[in-house]
Amino acid sequence: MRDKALPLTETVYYILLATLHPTHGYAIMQKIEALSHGEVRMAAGTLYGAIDSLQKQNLIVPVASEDPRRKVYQITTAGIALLKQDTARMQHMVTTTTQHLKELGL
Amino acid sequence: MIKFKLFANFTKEEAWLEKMAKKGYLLTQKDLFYHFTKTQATNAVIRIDYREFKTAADYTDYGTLFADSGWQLMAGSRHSGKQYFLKTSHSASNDIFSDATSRLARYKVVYQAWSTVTITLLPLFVVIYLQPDNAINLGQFGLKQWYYTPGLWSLTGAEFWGKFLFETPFAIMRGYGWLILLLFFLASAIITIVYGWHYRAQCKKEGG
Repeated sequence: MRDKALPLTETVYYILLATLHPTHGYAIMQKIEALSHGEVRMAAGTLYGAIDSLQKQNLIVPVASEDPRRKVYQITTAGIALLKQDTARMQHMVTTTTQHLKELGL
Repeated sequence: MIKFKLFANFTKEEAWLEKMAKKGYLLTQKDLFYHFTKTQATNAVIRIDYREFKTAADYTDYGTLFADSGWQLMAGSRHSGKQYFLKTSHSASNDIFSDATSRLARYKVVYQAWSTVTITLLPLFVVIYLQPDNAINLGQFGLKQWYYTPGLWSLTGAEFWGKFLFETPFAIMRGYGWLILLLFFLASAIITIVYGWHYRAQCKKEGG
């Protein structure tokens, strides 16, 4: 059965993607902007709330940080599993849609 | 300069603080009062977040994230709930939220915190009321009978004042503790209703 957390919102998806490597808050914000080619720009309040909620769901965890002023987060095994599931879900949608459009010559 | 004002609407509070900055008064501290410092008149952009923190490290991390993205914490503390931010970078957008859900979540958090307080206080009244000799039942509103020191009223001079002043806080709590509690309960119930109402109204406006 499909995970209740699916489909992920665009912001959650990008936060999980950005934390594949240990990353601090502001760097997550910058990574998301770069990964989305400037399409997704998260503001600090929204990002902090999302990080807080993802930690509670155990999808990301704080890891050792050299900078005492900035906490560093990394995706968990559960987070990776969820990211993979959502990627497969979207992959399926893209493949199916492309195929149907192609059949109709659109 | 110190000012007292109550707000149940974050947007209106932000607008008022920006108007004060335009007059040359910048917020430096918020407790029961707003503390301002005189500066040059500025077109400041001020935004309010609502959040409490388990550890000092969490609070530092939070402040750093905002500072990194162009928002300086101007007032607030770990347990203050309301956190006031001043925009310091031209490149930052004009808001600390990038979606409607998180903008609304502020109202939800305040509403939930105060409804917990209200619900917690309610059973206290039941307990007080069920006590046979409680102040409400006895209808005793005079303060004198709540002094329990034997022979207090026949004492004079320094001995009287010493014992009288020592017991006064206890007497007030015995006689009027329930009243103080009742006022606090009513205040928290009103805050809960106001924020709940605002949350619903804002949800409708955002179409959520």
